[in-house]
Amino acid sequence: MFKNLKLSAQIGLGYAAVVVLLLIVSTTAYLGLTTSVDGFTQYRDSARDANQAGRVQANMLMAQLLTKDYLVTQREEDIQRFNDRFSALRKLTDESLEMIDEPERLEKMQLVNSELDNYERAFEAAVSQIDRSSEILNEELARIGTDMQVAMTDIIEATNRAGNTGGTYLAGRAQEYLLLARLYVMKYIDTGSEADLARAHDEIDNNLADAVQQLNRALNDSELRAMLRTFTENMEAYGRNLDEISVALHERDTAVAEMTRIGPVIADATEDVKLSIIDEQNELGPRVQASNMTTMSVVFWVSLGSVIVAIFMSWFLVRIVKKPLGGEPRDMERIANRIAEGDLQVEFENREQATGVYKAMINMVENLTSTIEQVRSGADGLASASNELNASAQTISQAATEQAASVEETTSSVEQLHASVQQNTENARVTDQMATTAASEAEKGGEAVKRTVAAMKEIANKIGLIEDIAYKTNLLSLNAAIEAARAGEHGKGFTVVAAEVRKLAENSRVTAQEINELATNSVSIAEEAGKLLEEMVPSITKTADLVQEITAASVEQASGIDQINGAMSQLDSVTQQNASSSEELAATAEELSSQAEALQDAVAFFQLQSESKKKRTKAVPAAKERSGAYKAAEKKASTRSDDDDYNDSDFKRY
Amino acid sequence: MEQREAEATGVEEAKGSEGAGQYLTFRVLNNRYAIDILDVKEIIEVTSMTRVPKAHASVHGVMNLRGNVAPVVDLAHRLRGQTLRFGRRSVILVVEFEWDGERQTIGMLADEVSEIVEINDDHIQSAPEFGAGIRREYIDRMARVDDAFIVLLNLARVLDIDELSLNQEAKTELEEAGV
Repeated sequence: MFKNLKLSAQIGLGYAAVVVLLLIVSTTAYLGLTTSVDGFTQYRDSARDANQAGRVQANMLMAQLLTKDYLVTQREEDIQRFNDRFSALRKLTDESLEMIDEPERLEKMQLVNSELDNYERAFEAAVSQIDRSSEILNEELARIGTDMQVAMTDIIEATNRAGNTGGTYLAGRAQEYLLLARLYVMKYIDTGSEADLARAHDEIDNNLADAVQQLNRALNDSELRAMLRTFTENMEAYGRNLDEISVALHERDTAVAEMTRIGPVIADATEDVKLSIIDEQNELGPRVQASNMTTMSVVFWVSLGSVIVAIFMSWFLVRIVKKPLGGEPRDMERIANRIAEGDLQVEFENREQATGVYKAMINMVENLTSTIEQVRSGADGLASASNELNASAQTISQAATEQAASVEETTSSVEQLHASVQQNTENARVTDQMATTAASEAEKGGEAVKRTVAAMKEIANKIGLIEDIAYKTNLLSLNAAIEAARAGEHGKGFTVVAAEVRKLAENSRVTAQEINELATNSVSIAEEAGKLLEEMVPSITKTADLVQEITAASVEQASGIDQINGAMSQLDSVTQQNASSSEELAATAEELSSQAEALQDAVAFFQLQSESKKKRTKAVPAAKERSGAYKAAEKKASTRSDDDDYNDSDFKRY
Repeated sequence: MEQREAEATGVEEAKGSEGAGQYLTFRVLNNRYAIDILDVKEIIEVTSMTRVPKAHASVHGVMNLRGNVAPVVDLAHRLRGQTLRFGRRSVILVVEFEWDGERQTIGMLADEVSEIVEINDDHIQSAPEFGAGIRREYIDRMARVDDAFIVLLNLARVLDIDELSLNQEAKTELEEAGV
């Protein structure tokens, strides 16, 4: 199949195969590199993500440490450091949110972000509650406690001076309770223990209140009582402040607990992110590496294949191109140029193994040689034939002129024939009418004859009756004669009468018989006439039909003659044309002979191999001469062949 | 021709009536015969006849003649031995003659009755011995009329009552006995 394709298609297909292999190589290389670059980019991104997550984790740890410091020291400086660290942390988190694309990790980072919000809020709450509790402690509890202590000390001194020992004792107890309460308050603030708070409350609300009530009852001095009342009011205010500070401390604790919760959550989340990135990297690394290895091997093998295919194709294409050519193109060109110059004496090497164009050229030279030989002999034959043609054309011209005269005579004859045929047509038409009338009249005649026959038969019957009567009359007369004879002499006269009667009867009988015969004869004649008439009717009808056919035939004849007329005029013109054509033919024959000569000259352009071995005789311009001239030439050649080295083959082409 | 005969007859009649007798001529099987007119009683057309069983072959039958029975003899059979074929002109000649002192009336079947001719006695000759085509005994004499001879029948022999009254069987027996 491949061998049947055109050369361009064959070469194109070969290159196409190599190009396809090249395309495969470059595509594979491109795809492999793309995969590798993608893997590298992904790996780098995940490494950056891991770094980011690690930094977030570290900053978070620092923030937690700073929080602890603050809680311990409660210094403004620590708050400032925390805020710096925390804002850095927030920035890192925001960057991470923008950087991380993977949804699971993004979710984790968003969790971290929201927990950071919570942490910040908790931290601020803790700071504010700590500020508030220290404010209450410093501003209120210390002032009120000191006031109460001073007031109770005054009461103790006053009662002591007044010698009111009971009062002094009670005031001392109150002082003790007060100090205990304050002690426990300080302890509570220090430790945050609920038990200390309850003890403080117990000391103030129960013991101190009881002691103050008893002291109130023991005091009798109004001034002291007023002091005690102030003490009591302060005591209540102290209780309230204590409650407030406990609330503040409680809220601080809540905030601290929140922060304590959030710290590990964030640590875990960031740790998860890091771990997942490490997993991904562990998976991605070998995969990219394997892909790179595959690409490398594919590129190597396909390149190797391409090289092999290209080598094979170059060998194969050269074979394909050379086979139909059969030789070197340069030689081909040389041979073709020689043939173009009319030189057919080309020598070919190894003719047996020649293929393709080379073989075709050999065939071409051989065929051209034989063809040109044929053309030469044909041209000579043509020259003689054209001369004969000239003579024939003149003969034809003469004949055509005679023919034209005959055609004119024929045309006038046909005109006469046409007129007579039309006359025929008219006559036939009239005859047809007459025949039709005759047929109907014959039919009527037949009817009349039939009636006549019937009447005749009737007459015959009637005459039979008359005959019978005559016969009977005869008998009567005979009887009468007999009677008369018997009468003898007396009957003589009667006998005469009887004889007369008998004679009459005989006469009438004879006459009747004659009439009867006549009638019978008439009947048969009439019947015959009727029969004849009946036979005549179909004949007449047939005649009418025939006459109609004659009419139709005459019409057809008329049209036929018209056609003949047309044909004759055409024939006339054709004959005229023939005459002129034959003259032209003569001229053409002249032209033809000169053309034949030209052809001979033209063919002489080719140099044949067979000729090169012989002496080239000049083309005798005898082509125009008659065949007699050829014979003479041949004779001359044959006579010469004895003394010269001419032979018959020199004249073969005549 | 008949007409001419009739005319000729008329001429004859006109010419001579002395020494002549009148005869009735008739035809049987195209032969012309004649009998004396005085023997003829009348001529009638053929009427219906009754066949008589075992009668003589020549007796055609009997007929009713004005109330009297009269036998009818077939002359064709009697004279020539052939059966008569009835035609339009067939007639019965009724004859009357003496037999054993009795007047016998007998009908004779003829093909056609021709005419009454008057024949002079010198025209009448004796019968030939043979050549007339009928039995000699039936011929009385021969008469010449217009150069033609007519057989004058011997009625007594033709209508032989004795012979005719024999029936067919008896006749056969007689013939066998060689009578």
